[in-house]
Amino acid sequence: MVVWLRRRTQATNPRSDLPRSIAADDSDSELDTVCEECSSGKQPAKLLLCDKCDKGFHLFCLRPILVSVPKGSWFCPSCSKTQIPKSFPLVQTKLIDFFRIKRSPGSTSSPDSSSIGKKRKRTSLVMSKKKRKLLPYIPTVDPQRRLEQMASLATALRASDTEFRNELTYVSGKAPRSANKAVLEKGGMQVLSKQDAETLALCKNMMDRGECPPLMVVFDPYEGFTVEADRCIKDLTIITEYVGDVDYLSNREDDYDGDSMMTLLHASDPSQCLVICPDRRSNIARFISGINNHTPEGRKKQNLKCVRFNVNGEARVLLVANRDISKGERLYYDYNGYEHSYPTEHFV
Amino acid sequence: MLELRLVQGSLLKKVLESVKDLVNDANFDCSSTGFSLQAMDSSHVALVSLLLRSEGFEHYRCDRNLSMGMNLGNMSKMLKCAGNDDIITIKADDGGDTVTFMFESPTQDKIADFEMKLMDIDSEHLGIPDAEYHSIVRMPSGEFSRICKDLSTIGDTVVISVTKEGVKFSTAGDIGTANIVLRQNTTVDKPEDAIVIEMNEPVSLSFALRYMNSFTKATPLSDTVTISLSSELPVVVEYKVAEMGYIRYYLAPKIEEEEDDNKA
Repeated sequence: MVVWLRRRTQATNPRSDLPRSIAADDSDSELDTVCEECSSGKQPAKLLLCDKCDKGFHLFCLRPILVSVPKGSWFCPSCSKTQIPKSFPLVQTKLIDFFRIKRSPGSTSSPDSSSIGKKRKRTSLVMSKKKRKLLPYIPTVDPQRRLEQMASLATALRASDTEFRNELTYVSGKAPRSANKAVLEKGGMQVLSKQDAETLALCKNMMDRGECPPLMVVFDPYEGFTVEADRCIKDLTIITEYVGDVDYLSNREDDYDGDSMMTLLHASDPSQCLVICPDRRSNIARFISGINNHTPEGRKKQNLKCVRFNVNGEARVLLVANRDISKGERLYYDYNGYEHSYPTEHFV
Repeated sequence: MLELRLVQGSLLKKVLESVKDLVNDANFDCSSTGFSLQAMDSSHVALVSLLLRSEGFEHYRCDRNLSMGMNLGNMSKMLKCAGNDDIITIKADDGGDTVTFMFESPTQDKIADFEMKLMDIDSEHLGIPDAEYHSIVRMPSGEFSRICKDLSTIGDTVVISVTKEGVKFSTAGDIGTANIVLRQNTTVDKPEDAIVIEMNEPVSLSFALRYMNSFTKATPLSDTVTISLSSELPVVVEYKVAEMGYIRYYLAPKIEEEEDDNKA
């Protein structure tokens, strides 16, 4: 019988409230647990132990990769009942990962984005204001295909044990609707124009009629569930709203569940800051992947922007295309991009 | 006003057969340099770049740069109606919304004309920098086509490796694995049967065979194919079009994906 208390990882986790007794009197070989994938015992803080077989796995050696130690119990791929679909180990890259789009036909291939930014002049800002109008998404025409899209979302939601909702939800125990006041935003939040608000309402209506956004949820061995465009999507199209349970940031500070939380309201008073938690109730937005914004290759992938708007006094988060997206392209946005004002830097 | 007259009309027929399965709709760009096309397939993994130089046409008139959007399937249907020996003329008016293909039999006793509506195609051109490739392989196009066809019966991904021993094409699948090695061979009767391997650096890359099999549709255009490889770059598969130009296919490789940054 083991003397020491069972823990999720080897090293201490300062924010957890589990008792901290390290196995000082341990005579087992548990301290020598190594990762089953890489056979190394390094980074014990990230070495997860299966609650059934006690085998060790690094968070980053798992497929899909886990962000942090899950709060509840966790079972390794062999012990868990869910069948992860078998996929190819190699990932097909796209040409856009290697070649840049020529801004004007006939010119030589464009240099990196920093020099494009330097060329931006006053006049282009005026031009960008004219182009500001958000567009509603165009659903796939074929109803059969739309059913397939909805089925792919349903599969992903079921696998993540999430209920489908297309609006922000305010449940007891979390934040009330009255807490979502856009005026509290530090620095102010841009108001969604009347025209754009109508566009957003149109998107919601389309969804209610079963005309879902032209997106397909697919399973990738590295990224887990991720979203691809199922038809071409024009720049400035509203893809979807990021929804989930609205909660106070202060309630969620020790939440280490793998799912991310999206900032809804960044108030001057930290106790009024709100986040969106898509773990229990959400829509397709929670499956859209983030970019690696530390590498230039990562930034190239980004084709969506996450923007917050004041809609009728409430803060709302929209995912908007920031360039033309072709069918089959994976959707990526910058999880760390805080959008206080309308993103204009992608206009040249 | 655009008027291009090509005596060897079969070249244009073969060109369309080489691209129509990869790309559905594309813009043909006409300028004083020549008649060109650059388009990606719907998955954005493969790109075809075609150039027919103005010098190769018997008559080339292109008053101003023109971009004509065409459905390649429809264009191919029309071109199939041309005889292999026919002289093909492409005509279009500036600002018009149609293009006309005229086929004349070599004996001038039969003339056919086909008019097709043009499309509005929003396409972005990719900037393809001139690069020094790590390895360049030139081999008979029929051989390459055969290799791709044979390997695709075994697996769906081909690993192309160039070392000083030669070029190796490998694949693996449910039933087993396959490797085909070609060694440099320049002592042949016909120069087009030679296998020439220029290796500046060894390279090994993986590609999806289904795209390669689309590229080999261009085999009728040329006896030889040139495959240029560089790690960190898409492969270039080039077929020359009889002293007139080329058709180049670019294919993005399959790689071991690096970790994406995690959510904050």
